[in-house]
Amino acid sequence: MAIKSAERLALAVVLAILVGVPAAVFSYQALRSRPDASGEIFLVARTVEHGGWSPARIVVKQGQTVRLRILAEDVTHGFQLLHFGVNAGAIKTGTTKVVEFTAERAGEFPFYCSVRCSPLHMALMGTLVVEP
Amino acid sequence: MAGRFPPVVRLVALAGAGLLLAGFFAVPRGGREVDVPLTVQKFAFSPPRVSVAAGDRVTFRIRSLDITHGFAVEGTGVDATILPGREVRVTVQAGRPGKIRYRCSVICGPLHPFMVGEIIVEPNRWPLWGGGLMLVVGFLASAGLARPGMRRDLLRWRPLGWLLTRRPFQFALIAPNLLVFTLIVLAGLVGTATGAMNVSTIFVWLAWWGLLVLVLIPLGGRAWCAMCPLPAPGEWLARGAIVERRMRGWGLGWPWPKALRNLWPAFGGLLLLVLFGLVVTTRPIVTAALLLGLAAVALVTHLLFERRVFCRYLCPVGGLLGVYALAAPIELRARDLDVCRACRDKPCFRGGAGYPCPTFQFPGSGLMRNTYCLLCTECLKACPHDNLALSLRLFGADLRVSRGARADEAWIALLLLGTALAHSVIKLGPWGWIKSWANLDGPVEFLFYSGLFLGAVLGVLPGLHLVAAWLSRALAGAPSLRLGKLFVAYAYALIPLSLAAWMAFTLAVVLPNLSYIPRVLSDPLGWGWDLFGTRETTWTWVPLGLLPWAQLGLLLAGLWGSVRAAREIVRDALGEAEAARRGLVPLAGFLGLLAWAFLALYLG
Ligand code: SF4
Ligand code: SF4
Ligand SMILES: [Cu+2]
Ligand SMILES: [Cu+2]
Repeated sequence: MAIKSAERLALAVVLAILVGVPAAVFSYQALRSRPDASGEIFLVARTVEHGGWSPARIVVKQGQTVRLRILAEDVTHGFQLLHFGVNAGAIKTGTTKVVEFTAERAGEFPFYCSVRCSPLHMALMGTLVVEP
Repeated sequence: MAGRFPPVVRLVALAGAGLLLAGFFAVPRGGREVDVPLTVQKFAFSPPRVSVAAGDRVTFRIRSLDITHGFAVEGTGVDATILPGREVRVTVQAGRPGKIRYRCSVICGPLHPFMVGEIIVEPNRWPLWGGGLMLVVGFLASAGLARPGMRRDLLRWRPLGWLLTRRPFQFALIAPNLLVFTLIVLAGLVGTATGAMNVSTIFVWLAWWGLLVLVLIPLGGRAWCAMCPLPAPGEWLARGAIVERRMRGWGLGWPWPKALRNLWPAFGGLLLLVLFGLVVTTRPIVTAALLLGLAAVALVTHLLFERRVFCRYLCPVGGLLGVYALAAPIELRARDLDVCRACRDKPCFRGGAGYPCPTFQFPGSGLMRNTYCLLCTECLKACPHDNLALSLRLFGADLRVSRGARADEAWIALLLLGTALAHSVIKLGPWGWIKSWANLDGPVEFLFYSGLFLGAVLGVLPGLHLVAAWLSRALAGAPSLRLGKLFVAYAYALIPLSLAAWMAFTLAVVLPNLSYIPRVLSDPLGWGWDLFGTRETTWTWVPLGLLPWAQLGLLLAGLWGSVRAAREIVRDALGEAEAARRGLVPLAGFLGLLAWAFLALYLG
């Protein structure tokens, strides 16, 4: 019955590939986006034409130390949160930058892209919500 | 020796040698400070080309008109980021004469990998003395003696013979490719839309295409088809088995319609593919859709029709591979045709211990050329007399097999050559307008571009080829020969040169962009992963200084192969030796001109 087992093994390999690849990709991504101990928040910058900031609204607690890892996904962007004196400078496409600050004041604060990235660059805006 | 060549040929060769010598007496006269205001904008530098003298110092004052770009000089450490709203100064030393290419180094959109500009350092003698070399090589190729075709059967080496006749062998080749294919399709569908950061575009059009053109085709011909994952699911379903030989599968097994038993469907698909080439190769979602679409068509044809008709008649990649496989240094043939004649059941064709040949080849007599053999190894498994050989041979051996020359193959050869030229202009050239036209930026522009592209590839180039055939017939004094037949026969002579040109093109696309491969390995979907710590790899150590030499060498080798093939083909077509010698001149001239056009484009 060696014959049958080769066939079965091949079928298992094929199924493992077809199911395993998507499963591995999505579960790794799910694992990564779980807020870890450091409390790092992953922020993706895209041009307004392609969806803008993701997430566009970040909610944190007052007094919390906020760590943002910002990925410029399509073209070079920047990150600016004037109320907390944060300016990441240019973030080249495909690279990430980390900014850290303490959310001392409660309220809603806009953050912007600081590097011209498209005709709608000025509209590339998100909100940081600091809950008391 | 004297009298063997028309005087004009000898004159031309002499002129070539003269040009070659002239190239050694280039005198640089530079030393100036040159100031160049340069604006950058998706996806071009303006001015696209500047000309300076060797020894000059060129200072670019660079401003971006839209978003952030980069300015990196190929093969050097010079790399600057051009943020909008700020002028950046970069100084480049124009050392040796030749062409210096610089490119955008900050991903700025889909066409970013093709955003290049050029500094021509005068006196640039590459086209001149490269052209001289071409004349010399062309002359030698048309003169030298033909060597007898030698063969070396690899299957005489037992372990290989054993391996290739194992049933799971082909599956073992396909499985890793299926894995990559699945990842590519997934990434194309759900990953980042930024082509340079998505494994789908990078792996298909950089890694796969690079390996295919630079290694697999030149060495293995159609070997890719033995490991291609596209038709595999359909074939498995149709056979009702993945590795084993089953007598009854689930496919309906209809015969393929007679009218479509040719490569015209593949030609059509290939034409669409290269027409939309710039869009296809830069958009992950389009790449994924293309692969899925091909796999879906393959699946349906497998379930409805017999054998691998998709690969035999439909697949555009298959058409390309089939034509180039003629030049490959490997072939699968019967050892002894008498054994085949005596073989009653012809199991390689009809099926036996192995599946019947998926592309209807019969090694016992019909299989004289590589075009349709997928190297799937089924016939090795089917043959009860161990009568098949997988042989190494000289490059280009099939090109002179006149039996079976067909218009559909000839047109694919012409299309491939034209596309190599067109894509060299579009992707490697510094001209931004044609890139944006080809990028579907606007419907009208795209129409213009289509007109240009199709006109050049289906009109001008075949027209020139026809002129060469006509001149050849006229010079040979054989007006009774059918011109169409010569047109088809002569097209096979273009194949080595066009393959070499694709290799030269691919080197210039792949080498400067190599660092994208470790990047997407770490972050295949562009989601910010860093699996292997290589997500921000950059490198400049790639020996780009060697690129012009490699390109020149490839083009010369291609020209050599083409002229050698042309010699045999012309002799076959014209018959008489003296007529053939005269008839070769226009075709060899056409080949030399083509080779020079590529050279001028790459290095001029
Ligand atoms: S013909 Fe096309 S689909 Fe078939 S094996 Fe070759 S590349 Fe793959
Ligand atoms: S000739 Fe043999 S190796 Fe080639 S496609 Fe047919 S069965 Fe496969
Ligand atoms: Cu912006
Ligand atoms: Cu750019």
